[in-house]
Amino acid sequence: MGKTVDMILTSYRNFAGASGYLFVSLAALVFLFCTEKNKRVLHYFLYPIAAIWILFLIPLYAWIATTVWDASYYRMLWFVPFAGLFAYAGVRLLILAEDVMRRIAVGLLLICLLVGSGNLILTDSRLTPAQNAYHVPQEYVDVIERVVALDSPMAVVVPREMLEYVRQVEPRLLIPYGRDQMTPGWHQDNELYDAMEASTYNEETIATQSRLQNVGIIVVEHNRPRTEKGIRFLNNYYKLIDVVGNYEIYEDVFYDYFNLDWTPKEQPNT
Amino acid sequence: MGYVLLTLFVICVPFACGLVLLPVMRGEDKSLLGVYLYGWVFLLALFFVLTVPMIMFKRAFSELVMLYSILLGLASIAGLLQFLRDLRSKRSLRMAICEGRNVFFRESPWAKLGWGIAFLLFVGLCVFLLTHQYLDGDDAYYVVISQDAVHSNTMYRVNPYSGYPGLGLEYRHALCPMPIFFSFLSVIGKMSPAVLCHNFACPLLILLTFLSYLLLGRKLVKEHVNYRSAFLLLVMGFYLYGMVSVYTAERFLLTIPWQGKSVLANLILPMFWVNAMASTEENRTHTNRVLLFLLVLASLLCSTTSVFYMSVAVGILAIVDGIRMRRWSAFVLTLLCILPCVAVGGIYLYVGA
Repeated sequence: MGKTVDMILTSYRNFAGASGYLFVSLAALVFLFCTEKNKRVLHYFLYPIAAIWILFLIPLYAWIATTVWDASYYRMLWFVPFAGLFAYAGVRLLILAEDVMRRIAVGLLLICLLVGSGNLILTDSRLTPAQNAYHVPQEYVDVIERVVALDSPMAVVVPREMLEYVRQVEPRLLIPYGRDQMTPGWHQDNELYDAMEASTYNEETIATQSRLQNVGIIVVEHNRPRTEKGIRFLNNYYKLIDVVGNYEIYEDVFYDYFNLDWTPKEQPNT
Repeated sequence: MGYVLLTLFVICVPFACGLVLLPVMRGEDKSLLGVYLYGWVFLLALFFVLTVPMIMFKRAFSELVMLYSILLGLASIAGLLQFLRDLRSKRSLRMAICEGRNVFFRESPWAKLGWGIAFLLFVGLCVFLLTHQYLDGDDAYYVVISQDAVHSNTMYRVNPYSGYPGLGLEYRHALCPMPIFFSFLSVIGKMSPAVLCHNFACPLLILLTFLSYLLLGRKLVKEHVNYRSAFLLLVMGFYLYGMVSVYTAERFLLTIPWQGKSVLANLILPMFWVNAMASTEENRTHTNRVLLFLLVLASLLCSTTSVFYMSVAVGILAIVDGIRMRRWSAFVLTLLCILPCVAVGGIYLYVGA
């Protein structure tokens, strides 16, 4: 019971943060309940919204919802049409205002409520100027296009920051592990991943593990410290193909010699 | 050329398919806006019904494209025939369109100014979002699923993270195949699904969201036509300032609108309330339940979240129906609309869990 109540409160906090978003919506709901005369709007718009709010706060319901089906309990709040509720309450306030001056005052009040209770999405720091049609950092696209130009049947291993974008740009490329490797709970022991993400590259390990995992193309950061830069890759028949931005691209030049089976093997879905 | 084809598709096909639903549309739903939005609901519902069995029976993506295109063609023809038949009815769509045009011309200059501001706001927002990128980790799954369908001609058979063949079907996502719908659109537009999602889908889904709220507003402030544009402006303002956490529907729409969760929260759910408000004209009828049933199907295409929560929301409407009409049958008939949720939930719990 205590855990479920905590989960409800956490979902609420996660959804609205410290903003007045939910407070404004609840205020709009209460205002509409007080002023709405149209019984059908009450029955099919306001009562169901209130019912969803009440259900959201009931621990037994929350327990059933999260146990039987969806762990993302905050999604229940999507069923409350917050924008519609706020807009309808705003319009009713405007209608109640009798002259132009009062309407302007109500309009300003509504703008103040919006600005005060929410955050402008356009100022979000994660929205950055797009560099290409893929909406992926251009440096990564350059590396991926260089790898594609090799026209190799082999898989490619890339640094962590590029994992999410390789197959968005080019689905023909195979990678030994993807974004799942970065996600807690889905992470699996993988020596190649560990070697690629170590603060100092051990080229010997990367080359050996790459061959074991049928990886023929290695993309490493140009600036990251490593043991005997480039030499170990060369000794393992990985040849430097190109340097694109901050990334070096190596290709296994003897993959035919090793006669490896490049047929993709099945992998479990995560 | 791809963009032109896609633009023609997303304007004409939903409208033509929406015309099929004319016999079950009442009141404000029977308008240009209602036909277009319910046309989208029809498109998504049909796609869901067709895609899920084809995924489970390992059919090729190209087969789905062919079959879905044929069905859309047939539905469009049926829609146009329905439109011709509707011309003879007492309250035809043509009359509703003329009425809507007259209402617009009767609106006060302030209301017209509101429409102008809303239009400029929409254009500005789209330009901003098209020229900016939001790097979201989930795209590594959803966008790549779309990419793989086009590239490998299979559906949910490739591990999207690595590109290797997947070991078994991942039911949680395969039962809500919204990414495959974007694969279909990318085939129409002859472009990469990644480019389609990050560019074309963005203004399209924002437009559909605001239009669905506009339809809701038209029902809520029916008697005060001068306040419709104010309603839309307030909705747009709410969306602009909705970035209070990463979980809000507003944030989903303005950052990652192409993900199924966002389509659910920003198109299907406002349309759910539009449908609920259809009962403001008259008591809920079977015709209205047909639209609700389509909405439930469309919601299942978007996210497995709808299996449980959509059932609850429809259940609440059923209770209201039952109490208002004082008939058990009203409650039961509305509740029957959750049957697709029960079926998908059953499949998931039986096969997938």
